[in-house]
Amino acid sequence: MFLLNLEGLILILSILLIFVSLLIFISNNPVHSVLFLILAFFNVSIQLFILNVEFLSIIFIIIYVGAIAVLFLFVVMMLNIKKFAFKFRVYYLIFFIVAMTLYDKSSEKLVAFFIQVEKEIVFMRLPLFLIDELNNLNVLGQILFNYYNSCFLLAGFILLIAMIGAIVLSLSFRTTSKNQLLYRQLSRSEKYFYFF
Amino acid sequence: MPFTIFSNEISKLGILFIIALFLSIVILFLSLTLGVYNPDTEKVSPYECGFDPYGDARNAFDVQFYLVALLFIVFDLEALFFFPWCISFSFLNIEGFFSMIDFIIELFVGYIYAWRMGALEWN
Repeated sequence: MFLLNLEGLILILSILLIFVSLLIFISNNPVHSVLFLILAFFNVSIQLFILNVEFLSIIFIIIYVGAIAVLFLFVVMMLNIKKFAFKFRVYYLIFFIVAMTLYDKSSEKLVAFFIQVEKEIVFMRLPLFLIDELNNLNVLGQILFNYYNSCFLLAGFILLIAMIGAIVLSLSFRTTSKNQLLYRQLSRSEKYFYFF
Repeated sequence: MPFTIFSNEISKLGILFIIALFLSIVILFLSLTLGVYNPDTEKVSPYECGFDPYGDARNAFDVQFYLVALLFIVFDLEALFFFPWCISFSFLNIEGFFSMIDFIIELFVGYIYAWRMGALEWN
């Protein structure tokens, strides 16, 4: 069967991904375009799962659908856009072609990278591990923390900067906030009445 | 592409997905064709408890919800970086171990900052 063949399935999913990514910016309602974005994320996640990159596909679901799509919905709610009329322009087409070629190249490189890494790790060639190939989580952990740990620390700093930037931008520094201090309320006793 | 025992077993789930897709399309199509659908201007127009709607359903809310969602993403990513570290723990060298400790300290600094600035408080 053509559908149960994995490469045919990837072909069908890629064609679906092209249509969904077109529908993201063609659709008039911004909420619908966010929903199409979520569908595109799911599509990419299924493709990565078929290509034996399981951990990245789960990251796509958790990070992109669980968190970033929520941020997009917040932006849609805040900007309060009623209708967005789509007008076709030529540079949309150019952007689309460039994006498709970039996606094609990068997905090939990603899969090739993981296959090469699985071959290069020597100490997992023990007879016990030859039962099944090294899974994606093991590969990612060993490569990331043994060879690229400086990049990992840099990722931590980027997350820290993002956190501090979000707090500085969005928080209004009110000194006279009406917070209730719970410990002061709970530690109040009759000794405080003598003061007055 | 590599064909492992895992992908061999997981490909049987594809049959389930295909059946689910087929069944949902059939049910949607049947409800669309067999169901009675005669719309009316009174039926289709929006209402709130019998009244005409006062304002827009989408109202702008406080920016602090956005801040909480962004802090959630950061700590979600931190939790996701733990998984490959835990799985490959016995194959790590000493730098790999202490890079995760340093990562935790970096994000703990951010957490202390968010706590001290009052980003987690509501008023």
